[in-house]
Amino acid sequence: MNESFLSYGGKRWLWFGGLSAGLLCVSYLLYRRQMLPHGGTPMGLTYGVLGTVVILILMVLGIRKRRYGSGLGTIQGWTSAHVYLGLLTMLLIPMHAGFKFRLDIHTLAFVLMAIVVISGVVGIVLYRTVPPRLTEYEKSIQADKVDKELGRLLNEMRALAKDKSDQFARVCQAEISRLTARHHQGWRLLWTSQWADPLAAKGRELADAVTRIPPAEHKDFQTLSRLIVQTVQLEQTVVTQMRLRNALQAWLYIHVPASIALMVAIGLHLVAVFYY
Amino acid sequence: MPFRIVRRVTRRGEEQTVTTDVAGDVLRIGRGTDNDVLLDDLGVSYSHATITLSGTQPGDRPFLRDLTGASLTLVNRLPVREAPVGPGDLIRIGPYRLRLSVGGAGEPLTIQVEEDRDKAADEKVALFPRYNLSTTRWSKGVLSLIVSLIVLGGAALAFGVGKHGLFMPGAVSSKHKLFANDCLKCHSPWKAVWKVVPDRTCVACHAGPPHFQNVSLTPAPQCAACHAEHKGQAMLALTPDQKCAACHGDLKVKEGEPRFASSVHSFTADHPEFAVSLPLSGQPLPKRVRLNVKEELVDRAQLKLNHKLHLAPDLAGPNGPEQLTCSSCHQPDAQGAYMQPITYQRDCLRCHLLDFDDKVGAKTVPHPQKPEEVRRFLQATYAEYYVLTHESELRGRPSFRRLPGAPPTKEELWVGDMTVKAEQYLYSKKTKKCLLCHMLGFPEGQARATPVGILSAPGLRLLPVVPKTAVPIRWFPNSVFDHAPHNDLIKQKGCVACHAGAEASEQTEDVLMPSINSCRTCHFDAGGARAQCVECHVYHDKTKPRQSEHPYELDEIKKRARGE
Repeated sequence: MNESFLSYGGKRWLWFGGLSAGLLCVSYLLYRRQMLPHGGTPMGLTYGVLGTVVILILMVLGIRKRRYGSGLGTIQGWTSAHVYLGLLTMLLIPMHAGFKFRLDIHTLAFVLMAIVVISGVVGIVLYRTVPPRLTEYEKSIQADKVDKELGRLLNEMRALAKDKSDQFARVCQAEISRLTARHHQGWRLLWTSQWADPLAAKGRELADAVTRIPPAEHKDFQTLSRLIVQTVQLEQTVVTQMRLRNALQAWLYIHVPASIALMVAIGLHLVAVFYY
Repeated sequence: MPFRIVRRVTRRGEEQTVTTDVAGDVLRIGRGTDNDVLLDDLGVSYSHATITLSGTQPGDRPFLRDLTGASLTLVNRLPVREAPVGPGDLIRIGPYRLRLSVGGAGEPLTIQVEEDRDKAADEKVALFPRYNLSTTRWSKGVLSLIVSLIVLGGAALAFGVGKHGLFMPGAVSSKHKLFANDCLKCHSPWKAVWKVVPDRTCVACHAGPPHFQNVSLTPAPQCAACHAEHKGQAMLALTPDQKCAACHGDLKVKEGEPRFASSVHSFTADHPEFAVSLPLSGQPLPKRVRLNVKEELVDRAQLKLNHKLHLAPDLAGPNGPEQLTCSSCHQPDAQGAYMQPITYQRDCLRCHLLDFDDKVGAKTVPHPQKPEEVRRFLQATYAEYYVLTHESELRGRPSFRRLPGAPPTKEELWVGDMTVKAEQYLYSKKTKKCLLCHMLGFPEGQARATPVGILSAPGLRLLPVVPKTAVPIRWFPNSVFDHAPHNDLIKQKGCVACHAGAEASEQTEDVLMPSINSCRTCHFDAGGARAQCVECHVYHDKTKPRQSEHPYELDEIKKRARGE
């Protein structure tokens, strides 16, 4: 990806967004001189209709990006427009409301929109910073290939533990349970420290365990320890890569639900203002 | 043949049943290869348990012993350390189930070993799905549905419990808060979003007389055009300047010149200098003169006053020297809003007595009186004086009426003579009784047949002409003002803080009203004291009443105010 979605097509959407923002500010200042700004004035309604149209265009990205065969513009173009039009809503909608907010469903719609926009900005930052780092980590091994490698190591550990003492088996079992546990940890990755050193911790744990292993099994335990260290290293590779991959995904878990709820809130807003 | 072990194993993809017989009284179970029943799982102890056929009697039951020291063996789902077991019992060790059965008397104890089928799947490494967000149960779709339902449900709940305020596009003004949840009091459903509430809704409760000077080119705006409810105005009466500037920003009139400034947008920005209204004789409307048009700014009150002289120290008062201040004469009205008009009786009389003759003692000319009334008063006063001083002479003399053409009597001549003298005194430039304040015009000639008085006397002049005084009661009749809120300023800096130059004014013609700049020192937009149009101007002409229908009884409003 030589050209970023931010500067797609000779920055045409950046220019469009910037110029629109300038025009909007000028129009608002003129409008504000003439009357008390609110959603019901002709200008207020115009801002509202524009805002709704822009939001609908923004929602279309969600459909367009799932239609690989569509010839309606490139995905990059759509994303570029999505970013700059999305930022424009933060100007259009407060202008529609005359920059007045209170505790009601109309402000709820704005708050949801603000959440969508802010999470979107977070997404932009992540998309600009994370992929290069991820590519760097993926040079050694890709996260989705690690499971196969670990499976092989586990089989070796199982074979090694065969006919060994209970102490030996317990260490081995603990490792297998740890690696085969089913509980989902994708979210936890995002707020656990990336600076923890599980390798050192595991080394201490094994040094502690070796005292309980019968001397006859010490040689095999050394082999087991090497296998365990290898699993921990591989797991760290997965964790580091997944932390980045998940960061690229996580903001969407706010962005998408908030934007769907925003559509509901806009519906409520329209019913409320058109009913009376 | 005490024990028979039955296991199902998979060989070359084919499932087979392998049966092994074990001799001896003790059956050893565990992970170690020297066990009779080998359970190859790391969760199983090297030597996990034994089953012993202890008794020799036919009724004796086999005995299970857990060797792990931690009761890791379950018999019929209960952890045991030692327990008798028999046919039908189910022993569980790690992922294995051991079913006990006996084929018949004398047959060996059969132990069927089964392994949990999903064990293999359980032990599969799945780090990628574990750390992947897309495998979570809380997918984006599910979250979207939940958040949307919360929004929808919350709105329905709010509507259901009557919190209709949450659906209003803006807060209700403070006075209308009592009816905030009663939308239908003012609104009718499904009206066009750009239409406002019709006037009849507002005038049902509020009298809203029309605007001053119905000279505008367009029809009067609707109530809601200026008093915008739900649009962030806490007080609907505090109309924003833009509403006034909509017309006054570019004021047009049907014909002639507009009497008012034709382009005003706000007090701070482009309000013109204040204009005083000076009454003009013979004109129906007073003349509006702006305070900065000095050549036209002449107070034609037809009255003489020297402010400087009055404020001089050691002014001769009735009881010796005294120092006058502004408030010695300028008194506020009961509300403290405006200064009361100056009257001779209250403000001048104390020092400026209209006495005219020591003979008649404390008698003074009543004020205000026209010259002919003054003459009548003087004649009556002297006639009365004559009667009182010549009582004995006049007693017993028959009353008479002088025949027309007959010469005047000596009494009449005396009264006439005294009146001439008194008038000369009152109207003299030297004594400055009337002429001190009034500008009198003296027609030439003798009053031969004056219509006034009981007689005409030699030397009696024609009556002077007194121009009608025209002291404006309100200098700025198109705005409202209240002195009371400015009292602190007046106390600190005196009246001259605004009425600049009053203490130095010697000419009656001086107009001492404050200029717009003196108001602007405190009143300005953004940070100053309030400077909206409505601070000084009113739109509705309250002199023209408009009846309201009052659909709310006072009791109902009181009830709502109490929250009942």
